[in-house]
Amino acid sequence: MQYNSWLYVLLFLGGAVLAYYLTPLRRRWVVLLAASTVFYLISSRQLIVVLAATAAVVYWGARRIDGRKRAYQEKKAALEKEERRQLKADTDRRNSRTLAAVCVVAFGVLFFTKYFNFVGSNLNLLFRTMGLSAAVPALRLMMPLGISFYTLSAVSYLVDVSQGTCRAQENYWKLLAFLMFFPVITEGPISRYGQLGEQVAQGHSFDYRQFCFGAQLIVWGLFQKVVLADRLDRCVGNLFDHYQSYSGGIIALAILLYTFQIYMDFAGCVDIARGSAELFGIHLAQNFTQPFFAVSVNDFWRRWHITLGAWLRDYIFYPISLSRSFQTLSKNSRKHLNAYYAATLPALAALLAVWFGNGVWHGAEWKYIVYGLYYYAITALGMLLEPAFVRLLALLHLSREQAGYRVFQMLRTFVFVNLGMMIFRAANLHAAWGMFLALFQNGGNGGETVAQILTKEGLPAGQAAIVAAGAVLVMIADVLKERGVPLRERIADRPLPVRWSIYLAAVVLVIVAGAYGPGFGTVDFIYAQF
Amino acid sequence: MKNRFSAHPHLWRTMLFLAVMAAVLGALSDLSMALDRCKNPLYNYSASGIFYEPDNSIDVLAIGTSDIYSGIMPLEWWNSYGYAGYAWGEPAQRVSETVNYLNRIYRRQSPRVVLLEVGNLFRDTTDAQNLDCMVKAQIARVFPVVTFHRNLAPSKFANWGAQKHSVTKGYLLRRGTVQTGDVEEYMKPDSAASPINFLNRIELRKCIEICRSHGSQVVLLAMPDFAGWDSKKHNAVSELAEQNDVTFLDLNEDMKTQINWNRDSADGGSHLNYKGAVKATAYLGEYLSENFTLPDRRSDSAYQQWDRDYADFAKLLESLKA
Repeated sequence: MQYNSWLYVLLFLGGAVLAYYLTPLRRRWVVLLAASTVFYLISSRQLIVVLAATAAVVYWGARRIDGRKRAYQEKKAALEKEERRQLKADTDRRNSRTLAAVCVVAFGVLFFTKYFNFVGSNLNLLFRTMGLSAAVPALRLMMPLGISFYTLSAVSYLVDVSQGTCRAQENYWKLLAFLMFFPVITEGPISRYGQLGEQVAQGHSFDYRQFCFGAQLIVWGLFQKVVLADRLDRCVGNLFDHYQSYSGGIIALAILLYTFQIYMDFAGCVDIARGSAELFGIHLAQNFTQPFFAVSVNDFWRRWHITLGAWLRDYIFYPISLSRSFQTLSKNSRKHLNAYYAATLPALAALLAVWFGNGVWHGAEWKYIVYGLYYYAITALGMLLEPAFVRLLALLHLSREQAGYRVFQMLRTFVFVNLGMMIFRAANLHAAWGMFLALFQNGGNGGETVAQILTKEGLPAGQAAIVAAGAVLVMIADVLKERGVPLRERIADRPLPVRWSIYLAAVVLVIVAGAYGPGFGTVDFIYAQF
Repeated sequence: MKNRFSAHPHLWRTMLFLAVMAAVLGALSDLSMALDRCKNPLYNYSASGIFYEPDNSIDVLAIGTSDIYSGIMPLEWWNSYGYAGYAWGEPAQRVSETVNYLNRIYRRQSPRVVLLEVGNLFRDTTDAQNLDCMVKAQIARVFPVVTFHRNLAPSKFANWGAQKHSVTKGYLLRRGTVQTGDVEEYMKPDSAASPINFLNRIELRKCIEICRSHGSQVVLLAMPDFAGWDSKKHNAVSELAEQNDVTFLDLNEDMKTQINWNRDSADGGSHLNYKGAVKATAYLGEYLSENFTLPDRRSDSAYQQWDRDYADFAKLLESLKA
């Protein structure tokens, strides 16, 4: 079920909200569980079993870990120091085993459904190269809806329980309600139990202002998705498919359009998800904070798909960089390198795992792995050359605080991000490389003007005008948000006629200018495919 | 009233807001429908034109997607047989929408034969997609703007004031030709059957029941469609027709040798152009005359407008040829 469908917005969500507030406070989580089950069954049918089984294993694992930790806490006061140390070590060892076993199961299901055929096809290629006759069969596998998202949430929950950040949920159904919570199941945000789990399990009273804010966010999300992102889909697809026919300027335009499309698609979906949750009084984590104001690629990833970046930081980067072997590496580095590089090199090693994980998470294709490593290369180069940059800036008497320098940083990041998007959207690595080379070619585009090309590829002047106007609107909203202007509160504080006019205009805009119906195909959310 | 309002101010306010929104959407719906026309009669194929025909004057109704308005010229049936037909085609019409349209049509018309186009049975494959279509179809009953919002583009305002009556009886002239290319794979025999979502099966059954309950005879119709049709779909609909005890007429099978896909398509195989429509209409006219007893209305004084429409249609076509 698509979040931008009539079925979801009017029937499903409307029905769920009504049922939620008509149910006694204590039982409202049951409505969320039931609604999520219906949502999942409609979208993914019998594959709900995979999710329910993963949740069962995670539930079992978390309870075991939490149980041992509690037992240790209860017993430790009565024990001698040595016995206490031994019991602690024993508890930790057993918990680590349980944690590892459950992670293997959770990631195993993800690996099997998402990566089996990718690994198999690459192994087959290797076997053929080596002259071996062995072959890994290709399987017809169906991916459960949201597996890339709920697996990360499940693992983070388990790790948080093992680290004592949160307690294990005693009710399996409440844990399932958290993992299957329908607003986040398709595209996230990737939720932590401590942030979302308790909110789902609690009942929330109706709050009119909050409810209106949620509805506003849904309409804004629909505007981004239905009016802007979907309108660009055909044109972007055609330009990427036919890139060989065009010069660098048109390819650059295609990349820019795609960057805007995926931003609107993903941010739109997350806004609909956040708005949907707010109708129930539940607040989801932010997933975007004006990413195109970023001054570096690291800053970009702190603003774009924030919850994925945070997950990779907390559950890959920190565990690796704080591990004993890395601490040793860091210590040894100090003997041979200066303080900066001694600290940087181990971090770079840990970052390799982070960016590889980022790429692989996006999909079972080499282009996604290269996409992750592309960001790693930029990050690594930036860190390695940092002392040189500092010296260069000092030589040129430039300060990083200067407005002009910040604009330069933003533009530089924007270029890097767009090149990344080119890899991300291209049909494969070969096409991405071809597009990159073609960026520097100055062909004549067969004598056609930009407007003629866009019309031919599916974005006639009228449609382009809507996209341009929408882009200006999004930019204004982003500038205001970057300046800390609370837009929703500001609108809510206007007099009623002004407020209603804005709301009505927004709804009418989505219905009238939406890219749906004849002439437009149904466009799946881009990140839902990951 | 004051007490009620002060007890639930948000509720009343929300209801008032929804009422204002409904009024705005209602007005936009009327506007979008009013702009669903064209000043050039050859392109004024609006499906709702049927409501501007005299009540109970249509004997044959063909209903479905763009394949219907691109491929059937009811005025040619009129000229050859005196049949009063209408082509109700909507771009990408879904079966759930057909249910609604049939209910509306039967309030004003009582066709003896209904040709139900079946290409749309395969358009949406998942439960979610089909449920969404059903919800949208219900909303469109109240607020047609959700279907006709495309008419609110500035360029469409030039159509303001176009006549409501469709001279072509729902047919849209498509003059251009786009070659299809290699046609070897077209309707290659295959024993498998394409899946039809159970919701579409239910909606189609509803359509058939509506027609039958009004005394109409139903024929499931697949229009020639190189790009969107194949033997698997033929097999699936054949099975469905058998289950529902209706006739299935597949022009892709029956006219396989007559349609020249390099000359008869307007867009490389999805829709027929004028030449293709002439062939399909002639074939259907013959089929209707052989299988049904339909009245020849040419000598009926109540149908004089049809003679005038045919004359206008022929003249406009001639002017294009000139």
